[in-house]
Formats: sequence, structure tokens, C-alpha cells
Amino acid sequence: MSEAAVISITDMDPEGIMRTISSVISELGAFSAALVLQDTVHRLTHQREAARLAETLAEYFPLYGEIIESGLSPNEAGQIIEERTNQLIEQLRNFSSIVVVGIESVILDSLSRKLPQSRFYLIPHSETIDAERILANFPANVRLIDIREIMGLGGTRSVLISYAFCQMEEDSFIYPVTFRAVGPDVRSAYNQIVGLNILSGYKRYLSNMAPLYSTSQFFTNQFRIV
Amino acid sequence: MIGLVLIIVMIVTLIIQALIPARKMLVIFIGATVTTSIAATLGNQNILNIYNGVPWDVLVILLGLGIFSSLFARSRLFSYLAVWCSRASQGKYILILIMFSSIMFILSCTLNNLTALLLVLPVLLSILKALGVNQGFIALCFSLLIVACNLGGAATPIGDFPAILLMGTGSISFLRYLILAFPMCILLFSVIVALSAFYYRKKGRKNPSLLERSLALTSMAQLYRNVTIDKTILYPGVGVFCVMFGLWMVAGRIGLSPGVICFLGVGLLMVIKNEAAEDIVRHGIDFESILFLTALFLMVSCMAGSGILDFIAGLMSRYFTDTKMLVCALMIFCGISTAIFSAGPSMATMLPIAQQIVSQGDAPGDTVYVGLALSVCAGSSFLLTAATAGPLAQSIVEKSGLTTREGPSAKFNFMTFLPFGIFAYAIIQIGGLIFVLVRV
Repeated sequence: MSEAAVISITDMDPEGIMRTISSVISELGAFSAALVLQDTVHRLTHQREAARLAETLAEYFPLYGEIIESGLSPNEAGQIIEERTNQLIEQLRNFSSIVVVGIESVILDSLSRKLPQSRFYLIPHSETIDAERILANFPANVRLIDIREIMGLGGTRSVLISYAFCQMEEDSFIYPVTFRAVGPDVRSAYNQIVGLNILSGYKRYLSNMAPLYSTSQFFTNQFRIV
Repeated sequence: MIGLVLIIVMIVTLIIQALIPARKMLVIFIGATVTTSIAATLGNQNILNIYNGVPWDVLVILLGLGIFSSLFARSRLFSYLAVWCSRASQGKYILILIMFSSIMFILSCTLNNLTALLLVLPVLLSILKALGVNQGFIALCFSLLIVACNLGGAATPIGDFPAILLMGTGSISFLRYLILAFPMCILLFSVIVALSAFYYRKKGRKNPSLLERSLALTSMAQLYRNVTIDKTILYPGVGVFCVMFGLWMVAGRIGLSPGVICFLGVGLLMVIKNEAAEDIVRHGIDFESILFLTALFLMVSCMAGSGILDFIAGLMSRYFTDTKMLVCALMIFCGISTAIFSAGPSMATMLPIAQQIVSQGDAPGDTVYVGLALSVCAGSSFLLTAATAGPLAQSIVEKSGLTTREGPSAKFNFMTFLPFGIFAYAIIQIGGLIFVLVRV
């Protein structure tokens, strides 16, 4: 690792990094994007530099800081996600329709491939996406839908899943689209509303950044991913 | 007298459609209606003769190649290549410039320019967004892409309308066009890319930092992580295309017209990929271009029937007694009229004049026609509005939300393209003139 590379990482303009990964956050999800960033930094430099970058990005991308604080290496995070996703697959096997509010590709990639009989309906968490590109990465049982279609897909064989980030006791951070999508009417239309818990607890990075919500307000069931 | 009226109607129509592109279909159809009515009533032309003057073979080839392009694009081969280019460029600006313009040139040799742009631009925009670029690079990169598109289209007889018109009307054989135009277009493209790269290096612009480049490349890999080539489309597509290519090469000897070969090939691929083909025929064909050109051909047919085009050719022959001067004048006029009226109208009008000049026997037809195609290519590269690829690229860049490193939205419009357009026009037009002067 050259000195020049280390200097360039710690001296990076945070807005430059955000510009670079903005498409990834929109199309892969914030958690998946944070893992991509962690993996890239891990390959280029060492843990101390990764932590310094977390400081640089504290106001821009706090989820990255939370991952670094968790102490998991990219490999460890990958293994845990894979194991937990396999367990989630067993729970979802009986559902014919799986509506997913928000995209996290690290989870959905294997979910959609290992449940080929189920139909997946994704509601993106961002509006700045290339829909064709998103779909090209998933198998044919995945469709993108608009938030207004969510009620029509409900039923006893339908499950809705979304994400709860950094849950601390009863509260967690959620995608704004989850807030818009999961109201009392939607909760009554689906067999289960599953919240996928990503990272438990939050440190100083997220606490001042996003509004917290009561997790039980949105989800009937919870499943811990990382 | 009637011929003069017809040519005035056509020029007025072309000017209005160029000024009001949002109503160009309406304008061109009114022009065609007026021209046909005048020719059939006042000019005593038989309406069937007017219809027979339309080169239907050209329209069939355009339609067929449009379907073929759309079907082939679904194989995702070209998106895959574009992603490969991003990776191979290592996030270095100059390599992005060279690799993406090269892939655009190659794609435009076989696909229509609009399809080629639609396949490559999303990938290019993603890598540029991720890397962060300044306004100068954006203008240079997209301008070079448009010119690469035009040169690729002119390089083969199936790449773009002027070449298809030449082949479809039997003015030049497939093989002859390929032998003459392809090396010229590669040479001109290489010169333009080399000069662009030299200019960029001279400006001394720095590459993004190591982290930015690594992150951009990892991001691209993730955004296209599971995109694979659809071999069920690719293999039959390549197979059918090779057969069509082979038949086009020997079309004259086996007595099949290029249009029939295109029909057979596309028909076969449609049968093989019937579900996708049905969808493309229903929703994915650019009928607007076909109708626009049909109306245009009707106007040209009326003018040809009135004898005005022969008269103009005769006039030019009398004025330019030297054959080289005559051909050069025709080419320069064709280039400028393409810049103003776009390639379709310009080539459709100029070809009958060129045919008349060739029929006088002083100039070799093959050379004149390829020279004319190069002039149309030069004119298409002059102004952003001269070729359909330009406004499309402008619209895609505007909608993409691409911003410069400094923060403002990226600009790619008529004025940002103009300096490069003048440069590209000069290189291609001079190259075309040298080609003709050496061979006549």
C-alpha cells in the first residue's frame, strides 16, 4: 500500500465519494452500498484508514460508519448475511407472493434465486434508478412495481418484507418508502409484514441523522440479518 | 417550370421541418401531398410512376435491420461489452474516451445509430457519474461518441441510411461499398480519436484518485453484477447475420436483391425468437422514420419525374467542366445540405443527381457514391441537429442527472458540440475529397 494511496483516501472529498456511490445506494440499497464501500476500502487500505473514512463520511453516509463500528470484516459480514438469508428463505417458502419494500441486493439476490416458485414484487426506495438495469440483475420471477399496487397484491399467501436498520430496543431506522408503504390498511391485507433487522443498535453515526420509528408500528414479525 | 415549383416546395418543406422538428412528420406529409398533387395534376405525371420511384427495397432493408437491431440488442451482448470497456478503462479518462468511442464505432457498423446509443450511453453515464468528470470532458466525450456513431454507420452498407440507400437502389454492390468505405472510415476515425486524445492530454487533466477509481469500478461491477449475455438470442442472431452478410456479398451473382436477403434473414430470426419478435414488431419499430422517408422519397420521385434533377446535374456538368471539380462540388454541397437538412433528405435528393453525373461516364460510380456517403457523414457530424443520434444523446444526457465535479448539471447541447463538430466535419470532408481526388 503506497503512502499516496493512504493520503488520497483520508483526504477525499466526502461529496466526491457520495457522488461515486449514489447510483449504488439507489439501485442496490444503502446497506449493500455501505458493504461495497467497506470492501473497496478494505482492499486498498487497513482498518485504521477505514475508520478515518467513516469520520469523513459521518454526516453523509452514517450507515458506513455503523458497519465499521460493528467490527465485522467484509468476509465475516458476507458469511453472516448468507447464513441468515438461507434461514429466511425457509420461512418464506410457503408464500407465493413476496412484496419487498426497498431494495437490498445482498439479501434479494439469493432470496429471489433460491425461491424460484415465488413471485417477487420490488418497490424501490429511490426514484433515481435505471429500472431495466435493476431487473437485468434479477431472475425472471422479479418485477418492479409502484407503491400504489401494494394493496392489490395482499392475501393469505402474500408476505411483505422491508428493512429496519440499527434497531435499539423498540426503535429503528427505516427507509422513507417503508413509512409511506406500510400503513394500517396494508398491515391488514398481508399475512405477515416482516422487518429484516440490519445491524443491531446504533452508535454516534446514525443517531443524529435520521428519524427513529417504533419498529412494531410497521412490522408484525422480525428477522435478524446482521 | 413545374420542376422548379416542385423543388421550391421541397426546399421550403425541408427548411420548415428543420426549424420545427416537433412537427416534422406533419410538415413532411403536407410537403409530400402538395408535391404529389402538383406532379400528378399540373405536371401530368402518372401516379403509379411516382409510386414506382420510391425505392421500396431501401425501406424494407431499414425496417428489417430495425427489427434485427432490436432483437439482437436483447441479447445484452453490447451492454456486456460496454461494461467490459468500463472495467478495462481502469477508470482512466483517456481510456474511457478511446474505448467507448471505439465500441460505438463498431456497434454502429451493424446496428442503427439510435439503438447503438441507447445501448452504450447508460453504461457510459454510470461510469462518468461514478468517476466525476468536468464539463470539458463531457463535451469532448459525447461529441466524439456522436462522430464515432456517424463514421461507424458510414463504414458498412447496412450501418446507416445513406449507405442503405446506395445498396438498396443498386447504385453500388455490398462488397464494393465495404471494400472502399470501411478502410476510409477506420482511418478517419483513428485520426479523429488520436487528435482528440492528443488535445485531452495537452490540457493536462488529472485522473480521479485511486479510491474514486476503485470505488467507481466496484460500483459498476455491482450495478451489472448478474447481467449475462442471452445466448438463446445471441447464437441464432449471429448465425442469421453471418448468412445475411454472406448473401449480401454475393447478391449480384445469385440474383437476389439486398431487400429480399434482409427480409429472409429477419424473417428467419423472427421465427426462431417469435415471442420477442412479436413484441418488437408491435412496440419496438421506429415507424416514424420509415414514414418520414417514404414521404421524402415521394417528393424526390416527383422531382425526378419532372426532369429537374437531370437538369441540375446537366447544369453542374456544364459549370464544372473538370470531372474532379464536379464531383468535389457535389460532395461539398451534399455535406453542407446534410448539416442543414439531415442525412435522409440530403442523400435522397443528391443521389439522383450523382447518378446522372455518373451516367455521363466520366467519373467512376463506386468512388462517387462512397465519396457522397462520406460527405453525408461529414455533414451529419457538423451540427448536433444534423443526425438523429445528436438530439437523442442530448436528451439522454439531460435526463440522466449527470453533474460535473464542480457541481452544476452537465451540458451537452448544440453549442457545446459545435467546436468538435466543425473539427470533425473538416477532417471527414477533407478525407472524403482526398479519397475521391486520388481515385477519379
